[in-house]
Parts: sequence; structure tokens; C-alpha cells
Amino acid sequence: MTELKTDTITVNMGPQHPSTHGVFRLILTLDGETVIDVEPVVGYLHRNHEKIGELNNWIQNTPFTDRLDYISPMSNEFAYVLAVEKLAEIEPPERARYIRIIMVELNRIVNHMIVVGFLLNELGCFFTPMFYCIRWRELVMDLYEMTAGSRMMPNYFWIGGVAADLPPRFLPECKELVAALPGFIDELERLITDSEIVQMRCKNVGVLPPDVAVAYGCTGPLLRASGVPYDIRRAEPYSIYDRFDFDVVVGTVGDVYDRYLVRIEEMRQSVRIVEQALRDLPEGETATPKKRKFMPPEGDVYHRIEAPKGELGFYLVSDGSEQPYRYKIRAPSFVNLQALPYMCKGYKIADVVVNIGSIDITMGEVDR
Amino acid sequence: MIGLGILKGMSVTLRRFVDTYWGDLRQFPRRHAPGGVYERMGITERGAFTIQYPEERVPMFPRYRGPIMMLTDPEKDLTKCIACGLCERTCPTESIKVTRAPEKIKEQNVPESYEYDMNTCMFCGFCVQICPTGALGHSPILETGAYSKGDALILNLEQLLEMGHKYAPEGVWPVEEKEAVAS
Amino acid sequence: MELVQRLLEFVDQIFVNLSFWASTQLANFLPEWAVTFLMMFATVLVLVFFGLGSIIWINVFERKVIGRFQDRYGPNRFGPFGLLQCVADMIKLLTKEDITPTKADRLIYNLAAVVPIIPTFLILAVIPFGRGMVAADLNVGFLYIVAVGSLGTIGIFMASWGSRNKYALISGLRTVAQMISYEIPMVLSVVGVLLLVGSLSMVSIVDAQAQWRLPFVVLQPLAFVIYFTAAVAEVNRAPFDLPEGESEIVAGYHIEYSGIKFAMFLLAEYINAFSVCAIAATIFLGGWQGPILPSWAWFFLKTYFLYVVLIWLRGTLPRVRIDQLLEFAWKTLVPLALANLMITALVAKLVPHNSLVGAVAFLAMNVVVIVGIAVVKYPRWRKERRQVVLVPRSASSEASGP
Repeated sequence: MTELKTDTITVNMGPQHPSTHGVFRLILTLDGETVIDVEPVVGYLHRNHEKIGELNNWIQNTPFTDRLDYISPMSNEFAYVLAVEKLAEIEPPERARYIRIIMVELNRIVNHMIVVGFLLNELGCFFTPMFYCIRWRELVMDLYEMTAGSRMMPNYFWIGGVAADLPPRFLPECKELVAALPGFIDELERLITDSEIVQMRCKNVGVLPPDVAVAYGCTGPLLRASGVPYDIRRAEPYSIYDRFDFDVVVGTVGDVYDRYLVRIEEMRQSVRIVEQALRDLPEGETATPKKRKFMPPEGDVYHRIEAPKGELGFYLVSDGSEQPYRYKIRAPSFVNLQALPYMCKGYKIADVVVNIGSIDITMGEVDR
Repeated sequence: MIGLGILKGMSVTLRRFVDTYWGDLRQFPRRHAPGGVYERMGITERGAFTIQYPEERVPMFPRYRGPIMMLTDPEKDLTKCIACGLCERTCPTESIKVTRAPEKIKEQNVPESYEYDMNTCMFCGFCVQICPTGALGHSPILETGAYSKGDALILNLEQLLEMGHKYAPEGVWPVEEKEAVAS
Repeated sequence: MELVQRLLEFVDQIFVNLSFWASTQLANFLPEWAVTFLMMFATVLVLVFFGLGSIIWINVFERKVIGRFQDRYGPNRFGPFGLLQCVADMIKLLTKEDITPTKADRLIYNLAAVVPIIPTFLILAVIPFGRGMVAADLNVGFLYIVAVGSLGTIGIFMASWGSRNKYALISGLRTVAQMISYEIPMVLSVVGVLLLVGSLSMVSIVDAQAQWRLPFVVLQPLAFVIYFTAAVAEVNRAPFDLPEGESEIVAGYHIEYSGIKFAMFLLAEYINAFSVCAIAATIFLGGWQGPILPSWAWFFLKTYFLYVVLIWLRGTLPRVRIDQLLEFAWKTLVPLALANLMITALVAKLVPHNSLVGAVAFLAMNVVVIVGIAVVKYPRWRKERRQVVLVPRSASSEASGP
């Protein structure tokens, strides 16, 4: 019997779409409901970040790094500040290091909550888990505002410490929050994990085998869900991560459900780290004295951290002057996004959206 | 299995639903009194999380980074700014323009004109951090809407000094220990 | 005591007495056929106004209730407690520009705005709103509902085809498949109830529940669950709202409509949901029966309770994918409904009707079926549970990674 000669249609999930996490365009080639090809088009949020970085001072660059991944701004600042400190060989004081770890791990919790909330929004759950996650995020934003002055673009880390000491209100509230967070994470899990519809939609969807993940250069929860136990905090400990006791969460199959489970468990591990940091917080000063002109020695450095989305790296080249000569960012979302066509081929349209939600992209980072 | 997971999820939402009504009942007179200043809900409290904006305002934290204001020294009754130009040089978006007056007043350099452009300011706080005399502070102004871009949002020296008198009468920023300054 | 009872009965029959009084007044100066015609016309007008009038606040009701599920208040600015919000919405929709895409098929595009709303009003004609308050007591009531309710499908398909838009077309194809698949379990689950009643008329279904002294949800819980699930899929509400799958194909079949035509689709969806809840309340929950309060108050209470359950489902559950949806309908619901039907027929033959023994027998049968299914599915579910692996940080790092 001769086969039916069917035609493929090309659909454009344009830059303006409720579920593409910002301005992100996808050109889908469909045969009925099955996806044959996916072509992502990025660049709608390009803001010339790297060129602007070359025109600013070393010190003036920190507010701009906040705007890269705007959901977890403290991590971006952390990576930049650590890279410059490595270049100029400055050691921040101990109290500043502990404060930085507290802020960065709280940031990781916030980021994972937002990702899980938005993943469920794309699955169709009309904003309900998202509102719960945003409510808990507000509590952490209050802590940021109390300390740094601003909720979303804190501009808190200096080269050589942090900008200001913690206000007296911070510690009791942070301890109360850390005691309440496991309850929140449990409630989120009760809402989602055992639900049959979530399992039907997420299991065996978007499977990424570990060798393919490593070949694409994916990092972060995407890689760990595929079964590769690679975490930069464990492989090359930076800052004071070697003093804390936490586990690296690894998945088994590598589908969307595993990525979700990995993120939930990572939140719990971050709560552990924050508890230990709050317990061991030493007294002392919070910044080395700031110089007016900051001119690091010549040379180049590449420093990477485990941002909530993956490996965030800064490659800085200095020629001894006040401004960087080259300022390059290795954005985790941009590299992870390359695995999207592999994950989507052969699945249905509804799965494309779920896959994007599970890779966890922020267009500020992808386009810089 | 056969829908039990769905029922478990539904019980979570049901609990939140009932909690909003229960929370409303508990806070009844305080919540609906007109013009009440409302504290942000505590961490472990349950109930509706909304703050009804124009009627209930949450006081800003002391370190909140709003638009810039200029502080005056209360004893000398003169602005603390010595027109050194460091804020102009350190601003990443070039939003500040200072010129120095030719004569000194009370043996202190004073600025002749100070233009602060709220259109391009990104509220990073570098100017406040780098000022050697502590003449700049952040006002807790939240509602910066104007009817037109451009001139309405470029503030000059008198406006900045007026904001400084209103929000930091002692001449020091941040106004810590007093816990909150309502905008 | 006597006075209270007379008062309650007066309030209960207030609408019936009103229409009776009106017809006697008209009979004074009009011939017989004119009176009948005018009374029928008035009934139709009352139904239509009831439908349109309930839209005024059913939309706000839904938004406020779903806001409460999400830890926030719904709209509360416009009118006391936000009740006039729908007026604001309607004003906004009426004053929007009516854009027609240039390549759209005009006739079908414009007609499709009106077609989905017609069956929803037709369904309201056979539902008993209270004791003696039914617009048309057809003796094929339920068959009429099924037949007319399936006309809504063609309206949606006309909308998606006439828009000449790929998103709308995808959504239209999904809708047709979904709606025709879910009619079968919906009908089959109610046939079990009809076996117990012996007639298709809605009024006699309510009367049969009076004779059993128990609502049919106690006698046929499995049928209730199947009917409710299939009805949620029929009216395109979450978790089965693929036709307007908001996050993938941005508003689906009504993507090209704006202004009053979009308002028509919205109206059709809400009144459809209301009708389906009303039918479920009539067939399974006992209709308008209940103590003290007037009968129409009980009817509305039960319907709105089921509507709150619909909103609860919408707020909690994510959407199901199309192939999983069809698989669920054909491989799970239809066999369950058929099994329910066969066993109901068997048990109905063996036990006496209208007795407590029969009720207990039916309940026991349903419980046995559900427990049997659970026992059969348990081992496989146990095997498929997923956990993550925790590798402690201080373990030796043998995986060097990329």
C-alpha cells in the first residue's frame, strides 16, 4: 500500500509568547503534532554587555553583571568578583566570605523555586505553584533589600568584600526563614511530585543521555539529572565551599521529571549550607579598604562558579589599566540551549514548551 | 496511583484556600481600616499575601536605594557637598553633572550647579558610596512617575536639597535605628 | 409552625405562582393560543436573561475563587467586593476594535462567533431549576441534552478553520478529537443511572431520587466520577483545556477574534460549564431536593458547589497532552463506563428497588470495583517510583567531568 504523502507545516513560536521565558523565537517544523525540526533564533535581547564592560572600570562593572541573569543576580556578581580577586590576588576577610556564601545559596533556592513554578506554568497549571513560589521569593527579597538596598539588582559584592555589614534585623529573620524553608519545599513537593498528570507529562520526555549532554557542553542541573555527578563546588572548590558539608544530587534517567527532582533536592542541600554558614559566621570587618583607582596587574584569568543554571565563567584580560581589555562571559543558559533540538525531535508540540522550561533559560544570559 | 496523587495536590490548594478566609477573619479590623500602615506578613503566617497598594503601604527599609538626595550639615547649615566631582566620574551611566562655584562659602567649596538625571540613573549607589563627605543619600521615594520624560525627571540642586531636608533632617544617611521611613 | 411552613412553601413556589398569575391575567383579553404562545415566549426570554445575567457575576466569581486558591484576592476594585468587574470587562470588550484578518473566510468566521452559544442556551431548557420549574418537560430529556450539546463542537471547528491561522487550525483539530471522544464515556456513565430510573426525562430522574431517598451519587459513585471527568473534558476546562492551551498555542481557536466576538466565546464557555454542573447536580446530587431552604436555592447551591470543584481542578492540575488525553478517554474511561454499566444492570436485576438493601449492594459493588483496580495497578506503580541519588561532597571525585 502506498504511503500517505503528508506535508509538513512550519510554525513560528515567535518572540512574543507566554511560555518562551522572554524574547526567544523558535521555528518549528511539524508533521501533524509531531515535531520534526526545531530551530531556535536568539538575539532579541542583545544589549552589548561585553562591549560596555570594556568601556567601564573594573569597579563599575558590578551593577552590569547583575543584569545578566536577573533571577539570580548575586551569583553573577559572585563570579565576576571572584575572577577579579583571582587576577589581582586579593583576599577578602572571613566574615565577608561567609556572608557571600549565605547570599549566593539563598539565591540558588530562589532560582530553583522560580524555575519549578514556571515549569508548572508551562505545563498548564494556571499560575498556582508560581504564586506560592513567588510568595516565598518575596521573603528572600526582603532580606536582600534589608542588606543591600535593592531587591533584584543588589550590587552588593565589592572587589575585596561586601558593600555593607548585615543589619541587626538580618540574623533573626534569616534563621527563621531557614527554619521554615524545608516546610515550604515539602509543600511544593506535595503539590507536584506525586500528581499523576505531572508524571504523565514529564516522565520520559526530553531524555538527554549522559554522553550527549557532555558532548554538548551542558552543565548544571541539566547534566546532573542525566547521571553525571559533576558539580564545580565539588570538583574545583572555590571560595570556602570546602568547609561545608553537602551532597551533590544526581538523577538517573535524564528526563524532565528527573530535572525537577534534582532541583527540589538541591534546594534542600542549599538550606543545609545556609544553616552551616549561619552557625559559623565569624565577627570581623566586611571589606578590605577600597582604593579609588583599581588597576590589577597584567594577565588573564578564567574563573567559573556553579551558578544555579550551570557553569558561569568569566574570562578577563587585563592590560594593567583601569578598564578590562577583554571581558567575556560564558553563559550557562546559552550553552545548555544547544541541547534543545536534540531533546525535542520526535515529540509533540506540548513537549517543546516543557523542554524549554526544564532547561531553565533566562534570555538576559543567553543574549547578554 | 489512580488519582491519589492528584487528591494530595488538591488538598494543598484547599488548605491555602481556607487559610485566606481564616487569615482575613483574624486580621479583620486592622486589615480593612482605611489608611492603615501594614507590616509585611511574617514568614510563617498563612493567609492572603496581597498588600492593597494605595491604602496600605509597607514602609521602606532604611537602606533602600531610591533617587538621590543631597544632605545638609545641620550645624553649619550648608550642604555637605564640596563639588569634588568623584560622583560624576564614578557613575556608570553618566547621570550626574557637577560644577564648582568660584568662591567658597564658610571656607568650603560648594557646587554651583548639580544636575541629576533620573532618566538614565540605574540606582546602583556608587555615587553614595564614593562620596568623601557623605553628602549624598538615597531617598525612599517609590513613586517617581511623571507626565513626560526629559525635563520633569532631571533634578537640580534645590530639589535635591529639599528631598534631603525631608527624608534625612539630621544630615546622615542611612537613617538606621529608627527602623523605617515611610515614603 | 404552620405559618412557617406556609411561608416556606410560598417562597418555594414563587416563580410558578408568578407565571400562573400572569397567564390568568392575559387570558382575560386574549384568546387561548395567544396566551400559550406568549407564555412560551416569556419562558424563553427568562431563560436567556438568566443565562446572560448570570454571566455578570459568574466571571467575577471564578476569578475571585481562583485568586483565593492562589493566596491572593481576586478583583476587588470595581464595585463592592469587585462585583461589577464584569460590567467593566464587557464595556472594554464592546469598545474594542473588531479586526478581521484579510485572508479569513468571512462567512464562516463571522458565523462561528455565534454558533457555540446557541446549544448552551438550548440545554438550559430541560433542566429542572426547582419544584415544578422546568421550561420543557421532554420525556427524552437526557437524549436531547446529549444531541444538542454536541453541536458546540462544530462551532469551534468553524472558528478555527475560518481564522486561517496555523495555531487556530491545530487547536481546532485537537478540539474536535477531544470533544467527540469524551461524549461516549459521558453518555455511558449516565446510562447506569437511567437503568435505575427507567425513563429519560430529567424530572423523573429527580423523582426517582426522592423514591430511593438517596442521591444517585451514593448508589453510583464510579459513574459520577466518570461523568464529571468526561464533562470537564467536554467543556474544555482544565486539566483538559488544550483547545485554548494558553501556554503553548496562545489562545487556540479564538486567537483571531477580538471585541464582542471574543466575548461570545467567553460567554459560551462559562454557561457551558454552568450547564454541565447543573446536569450533574440534577442527575447525581438530587436536583432541587433538600430540607428547609426553597428548592431553587438548593439547586443553585449544589450547582455552585460543583462549579467551585471545577475551579479547584483548574487551579491545581496541569494540562494533559493530546495523545494522552485521547488515550485516557478510549482506554480507561470507556472500558470503565462499560464495566460499570454491565455490573449495574446485573445488580439492578438482583436487588429490590427503592430499598436500603439495594443501596448498600450498589455501594458495595462500586467499592469492590475500585479496590480491585487499585490492587491490580499497585505493583507496577511501586516499581516505577523514581528517586534521586545523593553523592556526598567529600566522596572522592572520580568523575572529572568536561
